[in-house]
Order: sequence, then structure tokens, then C-alpha cells
Amino acid sequence: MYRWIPLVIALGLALVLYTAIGKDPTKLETARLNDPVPEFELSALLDEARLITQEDLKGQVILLNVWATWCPSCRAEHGYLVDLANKGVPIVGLNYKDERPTAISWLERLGNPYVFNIFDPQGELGFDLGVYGAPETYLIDKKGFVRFRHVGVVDDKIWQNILEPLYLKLSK
Amino acid sequence: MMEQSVLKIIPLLVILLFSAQSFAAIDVYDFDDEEKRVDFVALTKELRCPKCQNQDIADSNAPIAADMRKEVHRLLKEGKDKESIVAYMIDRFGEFVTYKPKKTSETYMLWYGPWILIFVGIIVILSLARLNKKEVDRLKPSPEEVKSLLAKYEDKK
Repeated sequence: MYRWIPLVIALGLALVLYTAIGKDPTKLETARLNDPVPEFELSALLDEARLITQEDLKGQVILLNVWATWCPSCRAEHGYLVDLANKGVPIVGLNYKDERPTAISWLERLGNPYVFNIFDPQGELGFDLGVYGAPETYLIDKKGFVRFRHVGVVDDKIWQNILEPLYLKLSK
Repeated sequence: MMEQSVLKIIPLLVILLFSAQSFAAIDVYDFDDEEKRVDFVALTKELRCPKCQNQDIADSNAPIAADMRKEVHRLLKEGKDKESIVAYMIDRFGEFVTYKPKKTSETYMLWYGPWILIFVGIIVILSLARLNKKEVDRLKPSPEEVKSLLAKYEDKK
């Protein structure tokens, strides 16, 4: 009977380790999931005089995309965001810890997929949302609740497999 | 000779002064009282950096860790206690952010897993020891066998 002990331990260990395969430890839970977007009051990137608050995110299902010009992965996903915007998906930008002129010239150069951009140079709204690395993309429902967050680049695979089904479901 | 080699080291030491490490995490915070400073030190060691996962926020140079230190400082200044500051961070970054997660169904394994493993380990060791003892007992000659062996030995003499 005792001779089976090592085998049982090895199998147990294999089972435990197997459950962890494919999990990305850098992906954290979304603390704000199913909570309303935190209150904020920040200026629009393109129009310093215009103030944006959480109320401006309500009314339709939107993607809230956290980006910055210092973030290489944001550059990588930008083209895809432009494609999505052309398909009619409303994307609001959260320009995170960036500089206004640099960010504006980036949009002029690479195209502007955003309905509007929240300018958050200190990362205040980012902090309240729990942003820990750009790019991050949130799905916000019509009532302004966070329904999903994707950390990392949005590409065709992520959109078709994860974001779009949720987007369509929420839009109903 | 000795002095010369010491002199040679000096430029190297000067270079070290300007290394990236020497500029690490040098934000300065002032506190109204000593107690808050102690709380700050404790909290920044208890909170985990979301970006660089094996560092606390006192230890990390990641911008997000710097933001969190700034917030901890601000909240302490506002008079918030340690528990509510940890809760504030958990609200934003999740249970991950504390090195002492709450005991929920998700973290039971974290809290009790090691004890279970120790328990299993003790059982395994004890049963292996018992098995060993049985084997030794089995191989041990009985008193009769010893006697007969001794008798044989005596005969041969």
C-alpha cells in the first residue's frame, strides 16, 4: 500500500500544476468589475475648456481605451482601434499620464478612433479605475458600469472572441 | 602601492553614485507625527505592486508603485487609518494588492494549503518510518535463532 504514496503525491502535484497552465500571472482581477465608473472631472484632450465627467460615459455601450504616447503596445493596437471605430464601435479614450501636445499630434498623425478623449495627465481616473499598465480596454455599459476589462493589446482575436460577443450582448 | 589601488577605485565609486540604482525611489514625504511615518513604512511594505508582482510598493520603481506611495501618504495625511487605506487600494487593484489577503473561499488554499501540506508530509514520514520499523523487525533474528547460531559458533571452536 505504501508504495503508492509517491505516485499519489506526483499525480496530485501534476493536477495542481496542470490547473495553472495557460494562466497569465500578470493578469489581475478587475476590482471595479460591475461597479460604476468612478466619479471624475477631467478636461477633454482636444478641447481644454470642455470638462468630462462619468455622466458623459452613459447612454450607450462604449469601449474605454486607456492609452498614452509613451506606451509602445498602444502604438501597436492603434490601427486596430481605428478599424473598430470605422465599423461604428464607439471608443472613448483615456489619455493616461501623457502630455497634451504629444498626444494631439499622435492622433493627427495616426488617425483618431475616439469619440472623445479624457485627458488624465496625473493618472487620477486611471488610479481610481485600477489601471496598472496601458493599454487597457474597458467595456462600459449604458448605465456607466464597468462590465469587462482587457489588459493588453486589442487585436482581431481579442475583439472577435471576447470583446465583441460581450459588446453585442450589452448593446441589446 | 596600496594607496595607488585605492585611488584607482575612487572614479568607480563616483560612477556608482550616478548609477540608476542611486536614483531609485527617492521621493521624500513629510509626516505630521512619528506614528504616521511608521504607518507609512508598514503600509508600503504590506502593499504589493500590481505591475512588478514580487515587490512591495516601497521596493518598486514602477510608476504605479510611486502613485500608490503618493496616495498612501495623502490618505495618511487626511487621517485615514491603515485598514481603510488597504481597503481603498483593494477597491481599485483587487485583493492581489495586499500581502495579507482576506480569508475568503478563493484564498482558503493560500492560507491553509501550507498547513495541509505539512500535515500530509508528517503522515507520510510517520507511515514510512513505521514501514521501515516493520522491515527491520522482520529481518531481526528471533532469540531462538540467535541461540542456535551461538551454539553453532561454540561447536566450531
